[in-house]
Amino acid sequence: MPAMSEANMPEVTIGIDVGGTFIDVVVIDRAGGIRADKVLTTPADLSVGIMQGLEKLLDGGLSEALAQSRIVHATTTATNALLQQKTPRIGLITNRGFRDVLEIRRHARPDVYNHRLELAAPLVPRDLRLEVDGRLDPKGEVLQPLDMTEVEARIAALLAREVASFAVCFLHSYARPQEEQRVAEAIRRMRPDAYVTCSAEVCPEFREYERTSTAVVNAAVMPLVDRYLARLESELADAGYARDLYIMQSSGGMMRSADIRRFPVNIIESGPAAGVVAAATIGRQVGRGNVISFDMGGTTAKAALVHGGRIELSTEYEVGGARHGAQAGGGYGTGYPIRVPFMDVVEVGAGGGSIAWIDEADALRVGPQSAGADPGPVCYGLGGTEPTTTDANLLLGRLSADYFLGGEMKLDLPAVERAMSERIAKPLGLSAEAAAAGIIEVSNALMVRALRRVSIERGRHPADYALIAFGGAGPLVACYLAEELGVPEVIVPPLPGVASAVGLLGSDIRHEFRQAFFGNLVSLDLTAANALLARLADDGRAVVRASGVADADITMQALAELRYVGQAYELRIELPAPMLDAAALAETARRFHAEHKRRYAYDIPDRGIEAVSLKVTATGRVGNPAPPRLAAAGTPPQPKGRRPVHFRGLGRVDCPVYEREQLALDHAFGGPAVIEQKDSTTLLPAGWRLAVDPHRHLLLSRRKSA
Amino acid sequence: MSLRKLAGNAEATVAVDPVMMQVVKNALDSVAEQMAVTLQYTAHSTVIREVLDFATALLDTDGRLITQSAAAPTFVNAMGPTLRFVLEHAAPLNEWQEGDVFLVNDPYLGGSQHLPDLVMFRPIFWRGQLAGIAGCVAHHVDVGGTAPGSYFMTATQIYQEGLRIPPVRLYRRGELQGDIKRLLFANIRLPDYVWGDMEAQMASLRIGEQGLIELLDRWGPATIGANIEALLDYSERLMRAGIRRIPNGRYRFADRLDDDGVSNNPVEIQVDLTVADEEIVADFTGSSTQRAAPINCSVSMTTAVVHYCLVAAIGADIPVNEGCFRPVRIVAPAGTVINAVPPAPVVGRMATLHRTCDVVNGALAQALPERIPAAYYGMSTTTMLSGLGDDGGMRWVLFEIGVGGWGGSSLRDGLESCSAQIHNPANTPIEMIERLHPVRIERYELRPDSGGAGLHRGGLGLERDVRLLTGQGQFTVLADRMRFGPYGLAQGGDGARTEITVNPGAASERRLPSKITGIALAAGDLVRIKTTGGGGWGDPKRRDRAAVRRDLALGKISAAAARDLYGLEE
Repeated sequence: MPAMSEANMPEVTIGIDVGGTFIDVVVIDRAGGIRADKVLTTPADLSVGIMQGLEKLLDGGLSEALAQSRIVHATTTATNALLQQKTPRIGLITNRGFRDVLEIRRHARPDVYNHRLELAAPLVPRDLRLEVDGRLDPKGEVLQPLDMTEVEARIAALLAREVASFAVCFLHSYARPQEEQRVAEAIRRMRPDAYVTCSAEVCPEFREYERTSTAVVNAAVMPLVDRYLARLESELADAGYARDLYIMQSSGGMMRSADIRRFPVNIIESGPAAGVVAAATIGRQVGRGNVISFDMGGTTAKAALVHGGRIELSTEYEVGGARHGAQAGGGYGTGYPIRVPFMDVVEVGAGGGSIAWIDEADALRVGPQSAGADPGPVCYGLGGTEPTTTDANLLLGRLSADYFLGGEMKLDLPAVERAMSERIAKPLGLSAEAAAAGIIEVSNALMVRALRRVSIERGRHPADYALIAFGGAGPLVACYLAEELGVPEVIVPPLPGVASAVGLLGSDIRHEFRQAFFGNLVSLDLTAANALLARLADDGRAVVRASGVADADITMQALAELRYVGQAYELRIELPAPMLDAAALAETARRFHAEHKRRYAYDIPDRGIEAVSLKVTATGRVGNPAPPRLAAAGTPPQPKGRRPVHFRGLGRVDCPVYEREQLALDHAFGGPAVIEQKDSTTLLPAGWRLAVDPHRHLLLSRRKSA
Repeated sequence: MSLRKLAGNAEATVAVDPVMMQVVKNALDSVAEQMAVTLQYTAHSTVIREVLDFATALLDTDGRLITQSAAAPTFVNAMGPTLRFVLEHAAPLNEWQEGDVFLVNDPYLGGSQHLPDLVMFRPIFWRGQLAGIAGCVAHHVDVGGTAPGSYFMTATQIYQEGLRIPPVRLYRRGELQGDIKRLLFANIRLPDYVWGDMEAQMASLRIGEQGLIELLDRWGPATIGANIEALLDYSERLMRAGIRRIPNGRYRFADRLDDDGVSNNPVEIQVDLTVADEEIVADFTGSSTQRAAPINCSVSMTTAVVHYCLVAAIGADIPVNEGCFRPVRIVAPAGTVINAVPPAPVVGRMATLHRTCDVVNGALAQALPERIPAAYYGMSTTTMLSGLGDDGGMRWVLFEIGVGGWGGSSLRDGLESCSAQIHNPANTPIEMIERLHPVRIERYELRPDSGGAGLHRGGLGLERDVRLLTGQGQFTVLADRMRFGPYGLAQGGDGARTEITVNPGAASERRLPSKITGIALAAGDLVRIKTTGGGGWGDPKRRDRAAVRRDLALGKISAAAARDLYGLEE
């Protein structure tokens, strides 16, 4: 049998990353030729902007190119629907006595000193949460059967209230999903076009609040995502696109649009996931399995960790809220928790547009207020009056007033000097230059904290990683962050400003199937565990095959969520074999002890270990295009100019400024220097050395003596 | 101060400026946070991991709190005074050695609040010299004493409440002191469980140790030390600036606990708050004398409450450290319930803590009527259901904390059943409870009509039905607000009062008092717990009619309440 995915490999791969301000489109051909462009987002109908972006990039040959392409898409449609409360009317059917589980939440709150705390309103109001008799026990035994007459009456009542999307959640349904499915069938019987989500389908794990919330979020975004993707699929088809459309999931794997339309809860963090996949791909290209992804944009910075080529996943996430990944304290409520696989991304509210201010006890602070794109930083000259980190970078000479966005936008340095003096420098008794340098230091301290969270706080030492810096503002600060964390190397990709869209081109098809499964490892029911693993693997393989991937290109990974007996938080441990036996269990236990020790700095060798769920991940490798190769120039690099730039510890230094486009494979030089390109600026401090790799990445390394 | 001494003349220049201070603050906070993640994610008891009854901190060698990570502010003042006691009375600095771990839980020796809170310290040595101390405190499921879970609600002396541990070294130079551990194990129930949590605490201390060492390696002791001083001063300045925004004056408020657990006499807490420019005195003179009953508090709790209420009222983002306490003076006469002396029992101090919070807020509400909400639910309804074996020994314990509604405020309605004010517990998933224990939760709902009526309604409390399925059980309650509901403000009504009933509606129906230990339960018995709603704010007759109708449609108020309290006509 021929390798289908090879045969299936398109001439052109297209990545489309839809963000709040821009739609980034990247096209790469089999030879590695890459083109990228941005168009403004069209919020009313995103498919309009996407088609505009495609036409702009593929002008003249749109239908021809589409016929030979595969498209991977990252979208914020699902998240925006939730955050802008554009969700349709949702109904919930649950057990008698438990309709308020969704509203009661978990009690703990995220911000303890705030008397004015506001919580996100439940997505289903109380009068659309209806109860029925029927109860399961933790083993899935039916204690009290459903009364289908009562069920149908409740469905009819919700239909009469014009409910468009239903969620069904019963206590302990992870142990017996059939009861929820009976209700779903009844809904479909009574209203064939209704949207239905069963909790055990989207989250077959225990913890009723989190499972209910996951189901409700899925139900909330399903109609919108379904309609959006259906329209996009049909517009692409009309324009000549012939393959399945793929969507980036929060886990970093892509999934067919048709599957996403049923389980849209999986694409909540689609865009940020693409950025982390980009970092992993870049790491692979330069031969680094261990990388930290650092994406700094206008309002936020995001950090994530890739270890041994694998992206670290988490299942704790709150859409629009405070809680994401393992963190101290508790408290959902400012957003909507969901439990599906997520990239373990830590985000801080500080970016290029973050506003600097002085608090009432005379401390310099940066963010979380952002000047956004409008009015933007002072230097944009669009009415911004409060200095931002971008303004500080301009004042320090790190950004050029004449070469922002490749010179498309002139920056107003005198205005920045005035604002910096009046707002920050004078009140603190500093020079404008010292104030600007201070703003960068404070902003960097926030970034360092985010980077520590994904590394040191997860038991990973930054010295073992390379920092991949992208986003418009990332390459400007990356070397200083690396110095704080002891990271020896910084890598800047060719197109830092559209790196997330490029990341889409490097992704695999991935599906995760999981099921609650309880038992102590020493007395685990191996027959039952293996039967479950086999079923999950069959499901996984079948769905990846359905995407047209050959068996040879499918890899399976079996995992378990494990904890010490008595603990409440689990670690995700890869099983050593697809099926378990005594030896595999012993190895699994060893891996758990080791991971616990790595992550929390201790283990308890004589304590029992229990499983709470089993998972299988099916990954389909698709033929991804090789990146373009760069040639040697044969001549030394020529700076395009020189200017005085402020470097930490040195003050103003007259340093060379290079044009990124003109750097070649054999170019290398030491800092201090500045490298400019249209979508970003890279700062190379003293003590750092720059080299260029064949795939056009900048490799910045720290000299040992520095 | 020690870090400066440590630095000697090695560092010629010390960077202290508004920038470096933020850098050091973020780094220190990050260490405390990482300590907390370790403790929370590896702990065994629901009390730590779900109820979040713990805190982690870095302290200096003078026993001053430098940074803390805590989901609940209850412990804000637990570690500093305890460490200072250890240094002054048990082990002066020169006796601390690398690898030591100190353990202490005696509330009368510093800042611990009651015996189940085990405080631990570990010295941090940098290049052979003591540079700081990592500390943590966590609530454990049992420390011995008369009642399972060490919640003996009719205790008359602290000796009945469990093992009282003065500062002892659990580890000496990295060596576990087996005799201490054996003494501990012989006196507590579920020792393996407790040890699991103690291991999590010790792991978090090691994380703190590594974290501070890395910081000292990076910046040197002089810079870290000087910036710590700057941070303490910074918090003090923020507090002073905040207090300045409270109008000068004297504000008095009083409220009561239902009873003390032993006698039915209400317990009076009162405060006289004097705001003078940027300083504040909270005088609790006139509060009830201490009781031979477990609702007494050590003064560190009272301090924690005043601190919490002030910071929340000021509404500023103030780093929690020793500097916060400088502009605040507490007058708490010894021998009263808010500053008890031995041998008064203290395990139920949470009731007094909550009521103290109510009175401080009540006084602040007179100064800042726009900022301070009406009373919240006013007491965490703490229940413990333990399963007994044939020998009468405890086999399992289900420790639960019920919360209720927030008070309405000048801005909006109170939140429905959400943790409030000085503590921040979470509930435990029903699916976890039913898997671990032979109980079934039969109902878990918002309690209609429980929020105090008002222009802005108080948030709703909860109703929960718990049935024991097999075996014999014992049920213990630490609750309050059964006699005096959470107060409304500005003509708002009071929140509904707590009710706890065994077998409601059956011949064997029994209403329980707010504090009781060891009610025998048989298989099939059901306990119904109804928690309080928040007080209302403003005249309910002026409430937006659409809001009244929406509450009615959602079943949050009854038709009778809509008509009688809100005057809804139709």
